[in-house]
Amino acid sequence: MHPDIVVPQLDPIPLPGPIGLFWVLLTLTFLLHTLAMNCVVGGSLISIVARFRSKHPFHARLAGDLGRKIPSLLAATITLGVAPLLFVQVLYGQFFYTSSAIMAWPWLAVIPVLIFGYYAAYLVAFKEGSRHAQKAAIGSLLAFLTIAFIYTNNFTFMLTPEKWFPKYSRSTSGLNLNLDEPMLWPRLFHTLVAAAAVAGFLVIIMALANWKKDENYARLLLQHGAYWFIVPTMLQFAVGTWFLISLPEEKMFLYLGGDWRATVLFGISSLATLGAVFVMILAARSPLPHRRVITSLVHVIVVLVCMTLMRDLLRSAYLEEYLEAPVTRVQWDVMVLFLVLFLGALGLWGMMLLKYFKRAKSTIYRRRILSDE
Amino acid sequence: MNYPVWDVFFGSGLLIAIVSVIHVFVAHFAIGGGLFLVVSEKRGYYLNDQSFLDWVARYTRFFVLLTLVLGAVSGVGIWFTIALVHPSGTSTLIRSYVWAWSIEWLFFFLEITAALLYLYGWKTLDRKTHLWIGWVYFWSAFFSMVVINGIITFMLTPGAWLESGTFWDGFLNPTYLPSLGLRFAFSLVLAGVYALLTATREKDRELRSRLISWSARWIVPAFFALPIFAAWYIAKLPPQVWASAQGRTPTPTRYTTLLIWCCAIALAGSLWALFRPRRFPFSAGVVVFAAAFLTMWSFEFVRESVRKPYVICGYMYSNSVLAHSSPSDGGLSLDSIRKRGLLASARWSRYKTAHAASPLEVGHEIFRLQCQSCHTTSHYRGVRQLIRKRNWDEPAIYSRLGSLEKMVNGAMPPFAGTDIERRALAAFLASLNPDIQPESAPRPGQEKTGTKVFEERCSSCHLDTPDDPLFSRLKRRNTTEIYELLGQLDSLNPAMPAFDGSENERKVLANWIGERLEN
Repeated sequence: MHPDIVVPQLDPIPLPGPIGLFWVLLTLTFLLHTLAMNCVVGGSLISIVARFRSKHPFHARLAGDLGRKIPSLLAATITLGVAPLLFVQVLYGQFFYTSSAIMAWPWLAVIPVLIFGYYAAYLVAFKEGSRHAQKAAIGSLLAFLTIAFIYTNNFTFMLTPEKWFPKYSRSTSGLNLNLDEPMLWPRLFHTLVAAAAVAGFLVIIMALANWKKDENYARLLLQHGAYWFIVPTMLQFAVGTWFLISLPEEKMFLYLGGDWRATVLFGISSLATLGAVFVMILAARSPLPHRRVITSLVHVIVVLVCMTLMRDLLRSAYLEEYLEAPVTRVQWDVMVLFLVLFLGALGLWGMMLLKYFKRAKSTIYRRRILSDE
Repeated sequence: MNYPVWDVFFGSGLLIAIVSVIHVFVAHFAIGGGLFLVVSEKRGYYLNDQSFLDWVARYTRFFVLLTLVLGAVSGVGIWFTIALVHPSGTSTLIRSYVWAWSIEWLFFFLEITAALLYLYGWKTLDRKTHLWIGWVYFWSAFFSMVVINGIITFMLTPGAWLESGTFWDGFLNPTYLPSLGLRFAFSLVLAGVYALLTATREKDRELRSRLISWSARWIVPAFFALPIFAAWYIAKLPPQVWASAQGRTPTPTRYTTLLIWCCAIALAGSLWALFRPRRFPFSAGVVVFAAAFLTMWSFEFVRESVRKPYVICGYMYSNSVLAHSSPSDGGLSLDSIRKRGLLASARWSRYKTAHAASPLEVGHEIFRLQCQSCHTTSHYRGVRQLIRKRNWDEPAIYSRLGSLEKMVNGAMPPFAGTDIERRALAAFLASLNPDIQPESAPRPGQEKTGTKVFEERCSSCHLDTPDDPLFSRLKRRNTTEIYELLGQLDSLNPAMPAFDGSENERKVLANWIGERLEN
C-alpha cells in the first residue's frame, strides 16, 4: 500500500461469526432491498407518468393503484435496507465509516430527505386525485433520486481509499462528494434504469393479481407493464456497457475473461436478460400470459442475483489490497438464537400476511355478497 | 484517532443529542402506543362504543404516520450520526453485538409489517384477526426494546464484559433490567401523553372527555412506576457516576433538576386530566406533552453526560482513545499514544510531528483530534467560554491539561499526547482568549489572593458562580466553619481531594469564600 493512503485499522473486537455467514446475509438482504427499492423508485416514476396522462381512465387508475403501494414498498425498502447496512459495517466497516465521514453532510442528508420523500409518498397515497398528489409524487421521486445519488457517491467512494486523504485534506467539514469518480454516473443510471424495468414487472404482477377481478384492466396493465419492462431493459444494454467501460481496465476485464466467476455471471445475466425480454414479448401477446410471466420473472430473478454477485466481486476487486483477515471469535449461542428467531420471525411474518390477505379477501367477498343482496 | 474527524461547527455532540432525542421520544411512543391501541380497541369492543372505536382507528393512522416514518427513519438517523461522529465506538457496538442488532432487526421487520396490516386491517379484518395483528405489533416493538436496551445500557455499565469480553456479560449488565422497566414505564406515559394531546382536539365534547380520562389513566399509574425503576436504576449505577448528577458535574446536575420539575408538571397535568377531564383544555395537553418531551430530553442528557469521560465506560474514552492497552489496540490506547505522541498515532492527522507547523496550527489539530468529540471552540461546550470563565492563561491551561482527568469531577479523559503536544494545545487554547492577562505572581513575602488560591486549588472542578455547589452548599456557613471544612474535604466527599495548600492559603481561601457568600 502506498504510504500516503490512509486506511483505518481493523477494530480490535473480533468478528462474532463466520465471515461466510455475514457475506450470505449481506448479499441476501441486499438483493431483497434492491428489489423493494427498484419498485419504489421505478413505481414512483411510472405512477407520475400515468398521472400526467390521467385523462385516460386506465392511467388514472394505474396512478392511484401504484401510488397507494409506494408507502408500504418504501417501508419494505427501509426495513430491508437496515440489514445490509448492518452487515456491510461488519465486513467493511473501516471503509464504510471513513468514506461516510468524509462526505458526512450529504450522507446525513439522506435522513431528512428520506423523511420528506416518505411523507410525500403518504400524501400521494392518502390524497390521490387531489391537485397536490402529482406535486407530492414528483417531490417524493426527487427525494428518492437524491438518495440514490448520495448512496452511489458513498458506495463508490468507499471503494477508493487512495482518494480519501486528498479529499479529506480539502474539506474536513464533511462537504465532499465523489463527483470525479468515472463510474459514478453510469453506475447511478444503471441502477435507475433497472428500477424502471423492475417496476414495470411490478405492474405486470399487478395485472396477474387483477386478472380474475377485471380482465380488461389487467390486460392493459400487462401491456403497459411489459412496455416499461422491455424498453428500459433494452436500454440497459447501452447503459450497462457505459458502466463497464467506465471501470478501470483491469476491473473491466474481470467480466471479459479476467475472472471466471465474473465472466460466467456476466454471461448468464446477459443471456437471462435477453430471455426475460423475449418471453415477456410473448406473454404480452398471449391470451393467458400467467405461465410466461412467471418464466420471465424467473429470468429476472436470475439477472438480479447475478448483478448482486457481480457487484460484490467488483467491490472485492477494488478493496483486495486493503482487506485484512479479521480475527474471528464466534458467539455460537447468540448466533444460533438469531438463526432460530430468524426462522420464527419468517413464519410469523408469513402467517400475518396469510391471515391478513385471507381475511381481507373474505371480507371483500362478504361485502360483495351483501351488496348483491 | 482511527477515523477522520468530522468538523461540525456547532458541535457534533449537540447533533447526536438532537437526533437522539427526537428518535427516542417517538420510539418509546411506538412501544407504549402499540399497547395503548390494542387495549383501547379491546375496550371499545367490550363497551360496544363505536365512537371510541372510530377514534382509535383514526388515531392508528396518526400513530403509523409518526412511528413508521419519523420514528423508524430517525432511528436509522441516530445510527448514521453516531457512525459519523464516533465511528470507533459504533464499530465496537456493531462488532460486539451484531447478533443482537440482527435480532432487533427481525423484531423491527415484524413490527413494521404488523403496523401496516393493523392500519389497513381496520377496514378489512374481523375483530379477532385485527387484534391478533395488533398484539404481534406490540410484542415485536417491545422485544425490539428488550434487545436495544442491552446495547444502550452496556455503554454505561459494561459490567463483567470489561474482563471477559463475552456477549452476555455485556448485554445483561447491571442496569439492564431497571433500565428496561424505566423505559417501558416511560413508553406507557408517552402512550397516554400523545393520546391526551390528540384527544383534546376532539370536537365531540362527550367523546373528548372520555378520551382525556382514558389517556390519563395510562399516564398516572406509569408515572408512579417511574420512581421505583429510577431508584433501582440509580442503585445499580456506580456511586461516582450517580454522584455526577448530584452536584459534582454541572450538565447532569442541571438536567436532573429539569427532569424532576418536568415530571412534576406532567404528573400534575395528568392528574387534572384524570379528575377533571371535561375542563382539561388543549393548552394543558400541550404543556403535558412538552413536559414529557423535556423529561425524555433530560433523561437522555443525564445518561449521556454521567457516562463521561467514556463513550463505553471503562473501555473507550469519548474521544475514541482506548482506556487500556491490548495487543490488538493498534497503538490507539492511552499509554501507546502517550509514548508515541498523538500526531504520530492518529491516522488522519494533518501533521505527523509537532514541528510540522506552527504551535498554534499543531495545537488546533490536536484540539480537533482529541477534544472535538465533545467541545467546539466557541459554540456548544465552547472551550473559549469555559476558559474565559476560569480566567486561565497559557501556563494555567498547560498545567490543567496535565490533570484533565481530575477536572469537572472526572468527566474529562486524560490528555493523550507528549509534552510538546500538550504545550501546542495550551498555546492554541490560550489564543482563543488573547485578552486574558496572567495574574502577576506574588512577590516574596506577599500573600496570595483568595482568587489565586481558588484558581489553583478549586477551579478545576468548581466555578466562581453562586450556583456552583461550592457556594450553594456553604450558604449558611461562616468563615470559621468554612475553614474547618476545608481541612476535611476528602471525608466530606470521597471524590474531593484533601486540601493540600499551606495553612495561610487555607485561611485566605476561607475568607475569600466567606466574602463571596456575603456579597
